[in-house]
Amino acid sequence: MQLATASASAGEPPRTEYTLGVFPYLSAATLEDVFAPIASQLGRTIGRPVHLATTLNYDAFGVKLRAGEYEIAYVQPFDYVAYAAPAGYVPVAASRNVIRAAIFVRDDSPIREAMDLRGKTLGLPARKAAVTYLARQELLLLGLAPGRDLVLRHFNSHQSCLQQARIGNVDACGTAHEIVRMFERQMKTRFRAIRELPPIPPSVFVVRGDVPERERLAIRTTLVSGDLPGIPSEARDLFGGEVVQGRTRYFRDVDDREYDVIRAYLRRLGENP
Amino acid sequence: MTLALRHRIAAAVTALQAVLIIGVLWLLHALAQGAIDRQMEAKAQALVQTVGEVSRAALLRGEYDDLQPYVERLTADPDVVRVRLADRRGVIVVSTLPAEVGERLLPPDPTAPGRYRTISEIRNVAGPLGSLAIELSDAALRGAYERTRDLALALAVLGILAGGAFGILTGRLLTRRLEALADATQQLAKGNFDVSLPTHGSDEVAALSRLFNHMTQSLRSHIESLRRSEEQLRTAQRMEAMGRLAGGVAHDFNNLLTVIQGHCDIGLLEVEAMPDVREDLLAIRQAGESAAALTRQLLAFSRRQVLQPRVLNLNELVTGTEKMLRRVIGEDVRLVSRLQEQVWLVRADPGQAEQVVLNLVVNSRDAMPRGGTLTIETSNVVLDESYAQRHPGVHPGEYVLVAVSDTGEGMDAETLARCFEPFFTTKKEGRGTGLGLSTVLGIVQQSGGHVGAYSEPGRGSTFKVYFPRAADVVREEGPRVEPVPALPTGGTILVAEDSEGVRRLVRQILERRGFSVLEARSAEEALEAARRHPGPILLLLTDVVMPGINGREMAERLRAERPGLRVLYMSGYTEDAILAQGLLRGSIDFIEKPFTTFALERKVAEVLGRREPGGVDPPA
Repeated sequence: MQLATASASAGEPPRTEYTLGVFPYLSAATLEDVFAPIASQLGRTIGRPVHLATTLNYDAFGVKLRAGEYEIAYVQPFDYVAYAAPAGYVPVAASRNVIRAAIFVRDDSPIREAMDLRGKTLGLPARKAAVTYLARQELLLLGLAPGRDLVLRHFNSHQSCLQQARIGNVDACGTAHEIVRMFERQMKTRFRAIRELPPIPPSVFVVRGDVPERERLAIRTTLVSGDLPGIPSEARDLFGGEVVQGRTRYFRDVDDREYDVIRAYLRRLGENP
Repeated sequence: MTLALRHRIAAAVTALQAVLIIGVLWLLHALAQGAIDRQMEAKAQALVQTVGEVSRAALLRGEYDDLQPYVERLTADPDVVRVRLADRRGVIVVSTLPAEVGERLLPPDPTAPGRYRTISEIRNVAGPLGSLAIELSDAALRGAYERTRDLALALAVLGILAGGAFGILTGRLLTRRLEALADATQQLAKGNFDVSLPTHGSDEVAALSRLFNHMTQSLRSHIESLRRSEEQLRTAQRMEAMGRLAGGVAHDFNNLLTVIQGHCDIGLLEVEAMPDVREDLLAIRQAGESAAALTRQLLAFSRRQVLQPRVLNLNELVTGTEKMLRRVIGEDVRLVSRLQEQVWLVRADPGQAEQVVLNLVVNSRDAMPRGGTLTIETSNVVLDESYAQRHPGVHPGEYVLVAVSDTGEGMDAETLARCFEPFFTTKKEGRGTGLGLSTVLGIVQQSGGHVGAYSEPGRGSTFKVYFPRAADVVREEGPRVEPVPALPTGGTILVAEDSEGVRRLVRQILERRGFSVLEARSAEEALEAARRHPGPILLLLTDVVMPGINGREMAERLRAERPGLRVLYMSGYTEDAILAQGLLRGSIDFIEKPFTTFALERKVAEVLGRREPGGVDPPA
């Protein structure tokens, strides 16, 4: 018995379509909730399908970014500097929030400050995540050497890191404030920051260099104008949404020079962008 | 071919049960098919949702390494045949058959049996992410269902067989009583009216059995009644035949006796001086009188005697004869009379009615050789239709009953059946003629009545005589006894008689008294003789029934030619009595054969001595 037959893509010749790649800083489901409406709106704007894609980890995302598999990408500042810009991607819009990260512990944790992490386990997102870069530099400044004074454990996403801290598998988690607020609402729990990390420029939408100028401008206009229906409320925290003239604007214009600070970080960490 | 009822019942029960069981199984089968379909559909939907959710992240990431083992584990479920995940370009990226990875996802073959297939698109608001194709097999579920179905079928077959056995048993139980009814009916058809059926229970068959028993009882009663009627009819026919024989004999015998006694009388007149011859003639005459009495009884039995009925009261008749009856029954028998007051009047010949009572009393007396009680009763009774139906020859109506009972020896059934036959007697030879009760029967039946006899051996008998109530209740006076005038002498008398002996005797008697006699052997000869005789004719003395024209018609013709002609009828012919009864009602003169010389002379003198208007005066 045939229960249902419905396939829009199976068997059909592929149409000329774009892919919006998003770096895997959240779970795939969360990324889909937040970025699928954006991809849809971008597709309507430029008149061709824009599909959402991500990867299992930062390394894979970096590989694909370098390979230029995404026509459009949302990348964290270190990946922009390390992979996107060298691959010819052009920044078109950035989150209105700078990335403000910290080291968090559970609200009931006895750990009061960063130095209490000695002998503890600190959870972090992927090795290539922006927060990981910031946390490693901060530990360096505090004189806490990973592997000697504390143990570092990396997780695929910020949410995974927070979940491990919540259940006690790690003693603290380094992540962004906006992600902690979203996690606290979802999981009905409370975290406490024990060490603020220095803010860095926000994650950024980039467009591959061969995308026609007209489409690139249309993409920029769409993102900056704030005409992005369907984005869930969580995105306001993620992107620092701001209501301007009756529209919630999540993104703003961006300039490559804003990311020179990132390039400096990388140089300090010994990684030449 | 006609099946027995029990086989039809068994077949009907079995068929009904088979239809019901098959219907239920069919319904269960349909429900099971629907349930299997719904189960598989629900399972497919659940798998689509679960696998779809799991696959969504892989499709977004384009990483399927973790998904492949998950999908392969799904095949541990025997219902899962194949699961394939294609990306949005339709290329299979994950499959339970790893060899398919990289191929295009084609629509499944809808004709393959026993498969539940679905292809679901996985998409978000930005567009399709890929497609999930799931194929399920209902083989395991259907196998379980088919095992259950086979068990149910086996149970159904057993049920149908049990139903058939139940039907046969039920049919046998039900038809056993019907067969008994059929057997009883066959026995009834063969004439066994004593058959009966058990009537226990209150169902329809019991009710039918009760009706059948009632029917056989009613049939027995009717057939018994019919047998009695047939027996009575045979008896009546036998009596009728005997009566005709006795009547015929009596008629001829009367003619002979008339001649014998007549000539004996003439002889006695001639032998006044011859004492020895006179004694002999007197002995002949006495024997003739005895023979005449015997023939009268025969005529009475044969209902051919001449009756002269009158309206009379039987109570008065019994009372009037009681003294004589006491003498007859003797001292050892006590006579008891129970006479109902205001008894109805009847029309009967008083002498013959008296003869009836006397014969019954004598019969009862003879039944009580060692004495006893003899009871005479009278009462008014009404014989209804039912009684008349049980007693052929009896007309429903009002009767006066005269019952004579004794406490004597009684009679067995055979004797009782034959007691009214002439010459049938249980008395010793010489004690009875065997004509007493037959005479009673003849007289009563000739009077329009009915006789019944009831007896039990050793306890006595009762004879019941029913005389019909007189329709006209005016008492008639008895015949006036007028002095007989002297016999005239001279003149012509025409004698018509087909018996030559009687004719010659009458001629001798009349000629001795000085009459001239014209003889005729028939009515035609009499008419011719009258025409040739120029002078007056004083009297026509004629037999009633003769060959050709009968006596009455001939007399009427002669009266037309000779107004005032006097006529004296004589009769000894058996059927004369019938005519005679009509003649007597018309006040016609009549003399019964055999008659004596004196009786004839006296009757002729009576007829000729009566003055009648327009008549021919006799000579002085």
